[in-house]
Amino acid sequence: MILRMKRKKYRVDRALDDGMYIAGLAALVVLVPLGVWYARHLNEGWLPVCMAYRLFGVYCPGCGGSRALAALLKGRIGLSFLYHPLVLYTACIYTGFMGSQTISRLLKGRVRAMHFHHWFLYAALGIVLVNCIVKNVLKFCFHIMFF
Amino acid sequence: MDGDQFGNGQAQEPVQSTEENPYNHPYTYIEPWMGNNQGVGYRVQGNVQDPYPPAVGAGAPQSFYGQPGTNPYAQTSYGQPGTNPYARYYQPTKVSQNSGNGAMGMAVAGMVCGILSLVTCFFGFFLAIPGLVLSIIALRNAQGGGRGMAIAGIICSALGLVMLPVLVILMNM
Repeated sequence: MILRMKRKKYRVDRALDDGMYIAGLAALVVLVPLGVWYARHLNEGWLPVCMAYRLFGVYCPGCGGSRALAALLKGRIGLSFLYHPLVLYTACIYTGFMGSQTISRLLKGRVRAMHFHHWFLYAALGIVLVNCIVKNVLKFCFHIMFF
Repeated sequence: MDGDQFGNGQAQEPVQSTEENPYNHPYTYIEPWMGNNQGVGYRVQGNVQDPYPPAVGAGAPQSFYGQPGTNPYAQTSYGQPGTNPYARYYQPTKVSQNSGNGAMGMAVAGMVCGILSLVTCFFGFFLAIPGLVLSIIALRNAQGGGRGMAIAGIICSALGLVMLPVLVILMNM
């Protein structure tokens, strides 16, 4: 019974890994041209301000995301983290997962790959919420603004 | 070999107590001295469906502990062959056929859409709708870990969905 449950869990994990790997490859097709264009033409200094911030003066959960991506593509990791930590977190998880899965598949399982875990998503959600709260608290209580 | 007091031998009609059952339960306790050939223990009265059918190859009642090659628990004196005395208290739950990979995948996709709808703020409306649909479908089919993710996906998608109308209303005030 335990063995059957373990086998079922392995099948579910394997199917999730496969699905995530295919989604990652599909995202790569979109992200590479976008990243090249971002790195060549955009500067995080003159990106337009978020509409929610402009209208209400409040940081929304996604405020700073574009600037963080532009900074990361130019190699400014610390600045990218300050703009929006979700971008750096996603880049780390994506690189680790896709890289290890690709190597493992090429070597037919001789190298252990990184698996998809549920806490990846919960951590991303936590980062989004904490970032939004911390930025607004810093702005309204200490007058520290990020852009 | 004919029957003995331990239930070895041919299957015969058990001798049951003639006392009226004061608790109105479906079992009758059979003592060794009652002379039945199906062992000592509780017998089930009535027709109770067994959720655990006997293993293939199990024959007629032979022994309290079963014969080699048979399932001893399926043919004991705790019930009629192929019955389970606890079946009336056991309601087997209906498990969806889609509770495995599909539901988990949909829960993950729904939560990803929900988080992205929160992050993309003004354009999150377009991601919130598929996120909400996927999460609701996943919640109906998911078990265990997928259930929490489906709930999180519904909450995030709902927040992403209401963000745009709220901002538009606030803008016009």
